[in-house]
Formats: sequence, C-alpha cells, structure tokens
Amino acid sequence: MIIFSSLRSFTYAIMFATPYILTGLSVIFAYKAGIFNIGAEGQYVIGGVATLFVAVKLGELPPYVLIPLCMIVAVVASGLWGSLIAFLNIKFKVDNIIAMIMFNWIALYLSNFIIENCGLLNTSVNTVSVNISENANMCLPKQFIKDMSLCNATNVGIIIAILVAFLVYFILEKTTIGYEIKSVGLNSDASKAAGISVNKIKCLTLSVSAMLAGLGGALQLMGMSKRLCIFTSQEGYGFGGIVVALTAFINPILSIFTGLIYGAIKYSGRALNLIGMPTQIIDAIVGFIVYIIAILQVVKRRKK
Amino acid sequence: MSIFLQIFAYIGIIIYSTMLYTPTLAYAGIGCCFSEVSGVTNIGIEGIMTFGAFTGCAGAYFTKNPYIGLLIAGFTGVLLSLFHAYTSITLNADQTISGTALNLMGPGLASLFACILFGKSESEPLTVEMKVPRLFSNVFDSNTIVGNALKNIFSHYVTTYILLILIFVSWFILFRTKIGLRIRACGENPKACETLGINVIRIRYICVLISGFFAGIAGACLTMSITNQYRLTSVVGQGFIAMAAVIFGKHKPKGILFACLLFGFSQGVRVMITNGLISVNILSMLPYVITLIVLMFFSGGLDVIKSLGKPYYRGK
Repeated sequence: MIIFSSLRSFTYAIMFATPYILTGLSVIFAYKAGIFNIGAEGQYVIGGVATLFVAVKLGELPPYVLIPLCMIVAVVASGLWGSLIAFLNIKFKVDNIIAMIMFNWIALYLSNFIIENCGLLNTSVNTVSVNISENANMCLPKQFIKDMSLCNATNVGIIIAILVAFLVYFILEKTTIGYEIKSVGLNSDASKAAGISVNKIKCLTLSVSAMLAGLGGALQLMGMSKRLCIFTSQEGYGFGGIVVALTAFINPILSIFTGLIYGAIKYSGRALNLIGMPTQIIDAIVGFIVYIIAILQVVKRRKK
Repeated sequence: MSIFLQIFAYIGIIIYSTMLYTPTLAYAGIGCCFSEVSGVTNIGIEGIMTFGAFTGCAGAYFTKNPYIGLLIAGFTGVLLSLFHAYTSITLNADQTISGTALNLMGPGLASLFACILFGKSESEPLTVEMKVPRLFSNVFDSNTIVGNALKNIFSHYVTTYILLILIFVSWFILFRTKIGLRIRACGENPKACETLGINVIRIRYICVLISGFFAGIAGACLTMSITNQYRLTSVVGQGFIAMAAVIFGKHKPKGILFACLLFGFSQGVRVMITNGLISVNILSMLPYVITLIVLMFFSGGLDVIKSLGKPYYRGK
C-alpha cells in the first residue's frame, strides 16, 4: 500500500505503468492474429536504443521537433525488427516463439554493442549510457512538479499510452484491417479461402505489435529513465506485457487498468528491498496470477 | 613439432569448453523432447531450469553430497512441471500461457527460497566436495602440454558421462520399445491411441513429469559444475536454446545431442575468446544468431508433430 502513502509515490506508480501498457498492447495486438508475442522484450529494447541514439546525437534540435522524431525513429526501428521476425517465419518457416526468444537476446546484446561502440557510453561510470539531451526530456516543468509535489519523473507518456490503447481498440474493432487480423487469428485456413492474404496480415501484425513495444521503450527512456543500462539480463518489460495482456483478457481498453495495477505492483516491489527481500519475489506472485489466468480461461470456455 | 603441440592444446581447450555447456542443453533438450513427442509443448523449461539450478545448489550445500543435490533438483523440477501437466493435460488450458507462468514462477520461487535459506538472492558458493566431480582428472599429468590437452579432452564432469548413457537409453525407449511407440502415437493422433486402449492422459502426464525431472537436472548441471553458485543470471536463455535444439534435432535424441554440441560450442567460444579482439557483446550474441541461422536452413524440411500443443478432449 506504499503507493497511497503520498502523492509522490502515487504518481510514480502511475508513471511505472507506461511501458507495461504499451508492451501489453503489443502482446494483445499479436494475440488477435494468433501470434504469441513473447518477443516484446527485444522490440522494447530496440525502441529504447534507437531513441537513445537520436536523442543524444541530434540533441541540439528543439524539443517539439526532437521528441516526435525520437518516437518516429523508435517506431520505425522496432517495426523493422518485428517484420524481420515475420520474414523468417514466412520465408524460412522458423518457429515464431523460438525466433522471438532468440531476437530478445540478440536485441539485448545489440543494444549493449551500440551503446559501447557508438560513443554513447558514460565514461565515468561504464555501466550506463550518457543521459539523453535535455531537449528530449518529456517530463513536466520542474517548477510545476515541485508546486504540485508530484514525483520527479512526471511525464505525458502515460497519456500517450492510453491514447494508443484506444487507437488499438479502434483498429481492431472498427476497421477492415482489424477484422482481417481477427479472422486470421480465429481460422487462418478459412481466411485464406475468403481471399485474405494471411502472410501479409501476419507480417503487418508483427510489425505493428513490435512498433507498440518500441514506442514503450522510447517513452520509458524519454520520460522515466533518461539513460539506458548495459544489460546483463532481460529487464522483464516483455514478460510484464504478457502478464498485462493476459490479465486484461486480451482487451485493449482493460489493459490500461491492468497495466496500471502491474506498474503499481512493480513499484511497490522495490520497497521489498528495504526489508531485505529480493524484488524477484514479485515474479513468483505474478507467475501464480498468470497460472490462475490459464485456469480461468478454461472455466470461461466451459461456461459457453 | 611445437606447432602441432599448440594445435593439440587448442583442440583440447575447444573440446573442454564445448563440453562445459553441452550437458545442460542436452538434459533440458531430452526432457523437452519427451514432452513434445507426447504432444505437450513445455516452454516452461527455462523456469524449471532456474528453479532446479537453485534447489540443486541448495541441496548439495546442505547435504554435502552432489548426487543428492542433483536428485533434489530433478524432483523439484517434477513438482513444478506437475503444475504445467495439470493445466495443459487435465484442464486443456493454453499450454503457452501455463508455460509462461512457470517461466515467471521459477526464478521468483528460487529467489524466495534463496532468501529464506541463505538470506540473500543467491546461494552460498559450493566447495569442491559438494560439486559434481570431474572423472579421470588425476590420470593425466597436467603440467605438460600433452597431458593438459588430454585432460581437457577426456576428463569431464560425471554428468557428461551420464548424459551419453541417457541419450542412448532415451533413444532406445522412444524408438525401440512398445512404450516409446505409444508415446509417439500420443503426439501424432491421440484419438486413435485412445481407441486402441492406450491411456493418453497418463502417458502425457508421465512425459511432462520426465521433462520436468531432466530440466531440473539441467539447471543443476549448470550451477553445480560450472558456476559453483546459484545467481539470478545463471540460466540466461539456456532453456530456450534447448528448445531450439529439439526442433533442430528433429525430436530424436541423437539429433538433439548434435544440435546441443553445436550450441554448446558457440557458448564455449564466448567464454574461450576473451582477448578483446572481438567485442564481448558480439560473442554473446553468437549462440542465438547461430541458432537462428541453423533454424533458417533446417526448418523447412522439419517433421512436425501433428497434435503438438493441441488440447485433447477425451471422448469427443
């Protein structure tokens, strides 16, 4: 209940939700086409490192140019990353899940490589990158934060994430493309017979869902963390996205709320360190929740 | 003459570093193979391995006996896989979701128990008598180049030798016995099996539990022979590489062994080349890139198990 102790912790908990909502949406979008996007982690990392590159190298640009530019670059880079997975699947029949898992690790080391070899490494610390340019900082003005006693990293990322959630809902439920995606997910043979290009839809779905995860990486970097670490293991944003998507029962609108809850759990998990418990215990609890979800789906199916 | 000795020494090092990582992958691969051949995907292998890596270490630390540690790792793996078996076989739930749950639970539970037993998120380092012993290490004189190379080539951890027996036994069971035929039939056409009086549910349960047992041992192999200690970063994607090896090895124990040797070699290269000529990050990427490239060229003609991952409803 630490998040309700002050307005500062409360806003922190909300800000923590931004990347999880977006990776959750990424998982949801792919799931509708029958693809289990276990690769959101890698796509998130690619989005983050692309943003870092632009936000440092083109740091002189004014904020209203630089911030959108960073987002666009992150989205394009991770979109290409996602379409590479689709390409391997369609052209070479590489199993999607295995390919995504391999790409997660490749993305992680690629990110480390880019940070170390493109002059982005903070030479005095050596385990983190340099900070992004002040012009790419998405946080609200410092004075405003101080007056309202919000957390230091209060930013508009969460609003973008919520808007994107509604956009995803709109695309999936109200457009022809969304209809085709869902139809491929339900029965790809029937869709093929009905004249839908299954491969095209699969490729599109994977790219778009990678873009969503990549946007999450960009927003997290520009709003919250301001710099990347040299990774030694995966940070769990992709798995977090899976949890958010599953607890939302694959519904984009519900994912906003489950994302907020998951962000709050993750934020409060940091408090475990204070009493000498490892934060990974949160994972055991979350794993148990996912396990319950798997059972709940069966209950839901039996009721029909 | 000395150039030959040099080459010989290098070959020794290459074989040694390959055999460091191969057993871990191969144990997990054999486990995964049993489960997949019977028609159940188990992507929770990674989580089970992480948990086994911890329980094996803890077991060996408290009992002072590596073999009891290995068995404990195996049986805790069975316990975890029981969760997966219940949801995916009895309840017919989504096997990917249930496997994901295991992947989250494994490291979490390991940290929890590490905290209870050791008061921190990693285990205490093992001493020599608690580790899995290396056979024949006294036979060769490690002071000479030749002796050292021979030691690298022939002296491995006990788990490596057990593995070779295991590969043969599991090949024999799967392809030369009645039970093996039944297991494979369950993966291909469970309904036809049921009409012949084979208990599909029971066979699938047994196979998933076997996969849990070997995944647990695989994790323990890693911590009890190579790293000496359970850490959060002990099992980094090894379970998933093992799954790739199963696909590449066409669900045959011998194929899996060769696939694991290839992946073990690329893992070993990462540890071996530390001279700074090639970036560490590029080397770390290598196992994953090789896995992908291999899958690119071998996925097309791969045999597919027909009922893999599909729920089986009795009497429908």
